[in-house]
Amino acid sequence: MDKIALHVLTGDGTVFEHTVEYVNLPTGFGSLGVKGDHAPMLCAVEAGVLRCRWSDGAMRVRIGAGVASVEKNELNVLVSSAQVLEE
Amino acid sequence: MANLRGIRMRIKSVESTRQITKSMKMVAAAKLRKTQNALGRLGDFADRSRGLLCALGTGETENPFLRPREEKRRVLYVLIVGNRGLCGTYNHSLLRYFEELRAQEERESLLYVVGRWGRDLIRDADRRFEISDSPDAREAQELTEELKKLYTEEGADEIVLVYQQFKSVLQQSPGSKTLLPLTLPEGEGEKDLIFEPDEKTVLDRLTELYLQSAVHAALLEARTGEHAARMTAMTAASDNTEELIGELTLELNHARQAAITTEISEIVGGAAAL
Repeated sequence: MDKIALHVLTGDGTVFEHTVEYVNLPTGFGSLGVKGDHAPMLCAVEAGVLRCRWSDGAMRVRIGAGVASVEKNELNVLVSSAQVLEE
Repeated sequence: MANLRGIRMRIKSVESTRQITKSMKMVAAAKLRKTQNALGRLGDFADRSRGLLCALGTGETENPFLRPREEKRRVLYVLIVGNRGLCGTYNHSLLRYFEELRAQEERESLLYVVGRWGRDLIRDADRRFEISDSPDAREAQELTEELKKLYTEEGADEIVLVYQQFKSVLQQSPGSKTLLPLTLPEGEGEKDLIFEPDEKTVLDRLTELYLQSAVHAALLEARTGEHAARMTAMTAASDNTEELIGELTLELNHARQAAITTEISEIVGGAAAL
């Protein structure tokens, strides 16, 4: 399966970016998982913790409310605030 | 000899002024670099949120921020001034521009001032906000929330930002930009997308992000201009002190020479008299 280029952006710049295999987004209706080859999507994300993992690592990012867009294996998460959490 | 001492003291005082203006210039240059970088980083975020909004198409929306009101009775001006003075005509030219703008305004208007400068000059501000020298996303968010609340609840029908737009380090020009209602270039309206949970929620959320980035950009642009203006002003001030020190040194040497000449002729005159 293809990998996803994940970018977490706020007004202060890019907080986190990595090529990942799986992303879990917090939304108003529970968490939403995204893997490679996902159909184009726009999703409202809520404040919470974004989780992602790749072959030899994983990361958690605390995010504020915002929007995630998926297109051509690129996932852009635009949020009001974000902070990488220590694993 | 009093004259010589007087000149020496003046040189000393001008030298200490030079030290102050030079350090102020250096501080302004460092802050300028910081806000310019922040402006660059914000650009990416703003471009992406605008791109997504355009892709969504905002034609027939119920979103209160995107639909212009039929009657615009009350306008809110947000005047972004500097935090301090000593930056040339930065604040004054902005104030002059704003006064002209307001004089032409026939509707009822409110005034919010962002920045610390001009407490005594701008007396009719309805509210003041303090913003740091390098505003971050959190500060922009707080201000945006206030403005949104005012627009939706308390009856401002239009919000206009007035600030010094940054053209280059040497040039800033006062200008105004309508923040609300938002105007966006007509988008394609790609409908080949999945929306979670629905299109309206996504559009509302995107509008909020876009609004925040627009406020953040204006704040950063205004601050970048302020630092640039201060840097230019302090460079000119430092150059002037250099020039003044040169002139004073010349004057001092003249006076010293004259004193020596007088002394020699007195000695010669004294010797001749004997």
